[in-house]
Order: sequence, then C-alpha cells, then structure tokens
Amino acid sequence: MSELDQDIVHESLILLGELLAERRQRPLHLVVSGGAALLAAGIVTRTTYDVDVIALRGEVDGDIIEAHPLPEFLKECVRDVGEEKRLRPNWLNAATAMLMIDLGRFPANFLDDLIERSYGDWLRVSFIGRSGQIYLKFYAAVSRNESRDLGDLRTLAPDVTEAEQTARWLIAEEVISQGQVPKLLDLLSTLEHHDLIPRIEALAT
Amino acid sequence: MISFPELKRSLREALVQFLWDQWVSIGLAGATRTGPVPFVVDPEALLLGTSRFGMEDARLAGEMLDWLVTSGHLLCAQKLKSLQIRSGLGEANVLRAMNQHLAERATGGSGKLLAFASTGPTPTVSEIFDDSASKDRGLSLRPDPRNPEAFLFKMRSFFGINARAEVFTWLLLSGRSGHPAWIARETGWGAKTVQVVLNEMAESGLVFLTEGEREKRFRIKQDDWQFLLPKDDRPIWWSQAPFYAACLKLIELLDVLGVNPEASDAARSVKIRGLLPDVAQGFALAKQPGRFDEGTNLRGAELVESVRTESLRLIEGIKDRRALVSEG
Repeated sequence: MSELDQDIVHESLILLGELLAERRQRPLHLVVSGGAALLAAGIVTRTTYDVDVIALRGEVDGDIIEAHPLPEFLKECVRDVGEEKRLRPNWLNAATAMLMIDLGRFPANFLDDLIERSYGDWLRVSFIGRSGQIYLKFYAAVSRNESRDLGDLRTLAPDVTEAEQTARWLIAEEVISQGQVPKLLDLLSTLEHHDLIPRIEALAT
Repeated sequence: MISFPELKRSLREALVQFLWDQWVSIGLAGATRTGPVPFVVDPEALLLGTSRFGMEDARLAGEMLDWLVTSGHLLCAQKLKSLQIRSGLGEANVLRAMNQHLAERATGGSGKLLAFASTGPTPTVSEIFDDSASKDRGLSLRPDPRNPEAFLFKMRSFFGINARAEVFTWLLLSGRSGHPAWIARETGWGAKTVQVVLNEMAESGLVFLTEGEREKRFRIKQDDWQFLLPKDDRPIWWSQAPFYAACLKLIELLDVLGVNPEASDAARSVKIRGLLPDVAQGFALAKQPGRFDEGTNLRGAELVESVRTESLRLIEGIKDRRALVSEG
C-alpha cells in the first residue's frame, strides 16, 4: 500500500470529489489536519500515512461539526478511491478526531489561516494552516512519543511568541496534565526557546 | 477513440444481426443471413434474447411475431418460464405485449406460450414496436429438421417438446459425459427436472451412469446414434442463454460508463471495478472464460482501455460467430 505524498493526496481528493458528485447525496466540507495539511501548506515534503479529518463544517453556516463517525457514503467513496489508487482502505479517516481534545478548547486563532481547496462542487477541504498546526503538534509532541511530531515542529519553527502562546494555552486550559509539564519544558528547550522555560514553569506551578 | 455509448450501440447492432441470422436459420422470413450460425439454435433463449436486444429493429420484431404465430407451438412454455425466472433475460414489457399479441392471433400452444408473462399492465404490440410489427404476413416457414441449426426442433419432433429432447441432444452433441447440474445449466432446464429425466433414461439401458468419487455423470454411446445427425454438417451444442445474460451485464456496464462523458478515467475505473467481476463471471458461465477477466489488476486509464478493447473483441466475435463457439 502506498504512502501519500502531496500529488497522491491531491489526486485522491480530486477522485473523491468526483465520486461524491456522482452520488449527489450532500456536499461535504472536511477539516483536515496532520501530515496531509502540512503537505497542502507546503510546510513538509514527507509522505503521510493517511488524511486526518478532525471535523466537518456546515455548508451554510460553517459550523464545526464532529467528524466521527464519518458519513457512510463518504466512507464508501473513500474505500473506492483507496482501491483505485492502491491506498489503505481508510486512507482518509476520522480516527484522530476521536482521540483529540474538543476543538472548542483551541484558541480563537486555531482556524485563522485555513487553506481552503475545492475538489469539485461536492467536496471542500479546509487544511489546518500553520498556526493551527503549531497548536496540534505541540499537543501531540507532549502527549505521545512519535519522532515525526518533533520533526514537524522543527520544520514549522514556531517563533518565541507562537511558542509561548501555545505553551500557555496547554497549561491554562489544562490540555496537558501536571505530569506532562516537564516534557513541555524539554520541548521548548529542544526548540531553542530557553528563555521561555522559567516563565512557563512559573505558570505551571 | 470510440465512446462508450457508441460501443454499446455497436454491440447491440452486432447482437441484432446475430439474432436475425438465428431466426432466419429456423425459418423466419424476410431476410438473408449475413453470417453463419455454427451451433444448434436454442429457440427459448433466442426469443428471450430478442425481447431484450432486438426490439429496436421493428422488422425483426414483426417477423419474429409472424414466426411465433405459425411455429410458436414448437417452443416450450415451461422452459421459457423457467429460463426467464432464473435469468431475467427477457424484457418483461415486451414479453407481455407479445403474449397479448399471440393470445389474439395464434391458435393452440402458440397462444399460451408467454402466458407466464401476463401479470402487470400490458402494453399493446404497437406501443412497444412499430405498427408494422403487428401485421402478420404469414411468410415464415417451419424449421427445416435437416438443417444443423434446427437440430433441436428435429429432436423435439421425435421426443416431444420437453426436457428429454434437450437432455438427449446435449448428450449426443457435447461429446462428453455430464453431471445433471451442468446439463441443466447448459440446456436451460431446472436441475431437478434434468436429474429425473436422466435417471429415467438410464433405466432404458441406452444412457449410462458413470459414478465418480464425488458425482454421478451420464453419457451415451455416441457411435450408436450417428444416424440422427445430418451427414455433412455436424450440429454443435453451444449454450446461448448464459451468453445473452453476460451480454446484458456488459450493456449495463457500458450504460453506466456512458452516463457522464466528462468522467475521469479513475472514476470510470472505480465503476468498472464494481461491475466487471459480474460481467467476467457471466462470460465464464457462457463458456467464454477469456473475456473481461484480465481487468482485476488494472487501474485508471488501463482498465478503461481494457474494457473498450475487450468489448470490441466481443463485437468482432459476435460478427464472426465461429470464434464464440470455439472459445469454450
């Protein structure tokens, strides 16, 4: 099974849009994070395993709607695209949405710089932009041990303001536990924001 | 590059000519053959196939009705019903209109031939076909029992219009022993009926039972029955109903592919992958195992192109006729 690079993500979403258009059930607007969003933003060039849908948006008012479970007709089209492009059957899924914190807890600027793309009239995708990715990758790097999170954060290269804003949000909103604070401080150190460490440490105590 | 609607039209045209030639070989008036019919015509499959593929040709429809008025009693209503129930090959509306027409015009067995199709609203023949179709010209001839294509009619005249005639014809022409289920599939009769007939025939001592490890097979001594066959041109058994059923599945696929002329190859490939296994299985059952079975590993434009190429090869096969019979 292929991993997804930028071209495969693009081609697969185009085909998905075409199949959804043939179904004519209802237009879908997906919010996508993870590697696919980093690829769409041109932030990384690595491949990714899947396309992580973290939310759906209402077509009329743009409201954020829970992604899990994805509509059955979308899953069927995803399987068809997967078969055609020799990808995993669930190359586009909402597994991350199940594990992630409520989107309502993210700061207001989380969805500020979405990258919007249309794949025909029946599929729109909002890829999480750089600012949203920084929040997500900070959270992921502290909550789990996957080297690509740190690698992606290094590529995103948050400046001191962005790093402080994110670290403060993680603590103030209790997105991470007290036990995870040392890992956050290590992360700030790894990202060479040493000056922030005393301030964040003070905030956490 | 030929479009899918054009491909479908070409396939239908080839099928219509194929049907014409078979009807003419068993006595239909009004046309000359364009190609050989190198097999024994199965008249019930031919009628159902014509109701499905031949109705855009008003002249064929009219001449077929004319033939049925005079020779419809040589067909078997029970087999027609059973074949239609199992295959869904016949077009229900057309069969109802034909039933109405035969009930009004034909006498004896012909009038009740399609009585099984009489449920539901019945269109008149002129609603389905051209007006000319409803005028019986009375020019059709009875099938000539000396023609190899009409061999089944010869056997029916001898044995009666029942499963026995066809089971015996299969044993005589297939050149091998057969399991009742195979023979049932090939003749269009129900498996239980064929089993009963074979058991009865075996009691005559003229049909032999070979008991293998897992199944019983029946055979005859071919040499004892050569006198029944025409001297110069040996009839060939080729099962037609499964072939028409497979063509119908292919036409459904071509229909789907023709709906959106702007569809990408990838989207078409997705559609093909959903329907092609059924098409390939249909042709395998029709003893055309090489057809449409190479697509499973292909994707995108390659898969689309393979369906185009295979469809064209099938159309050529239908025009050539002998290629169809020799495939299996």
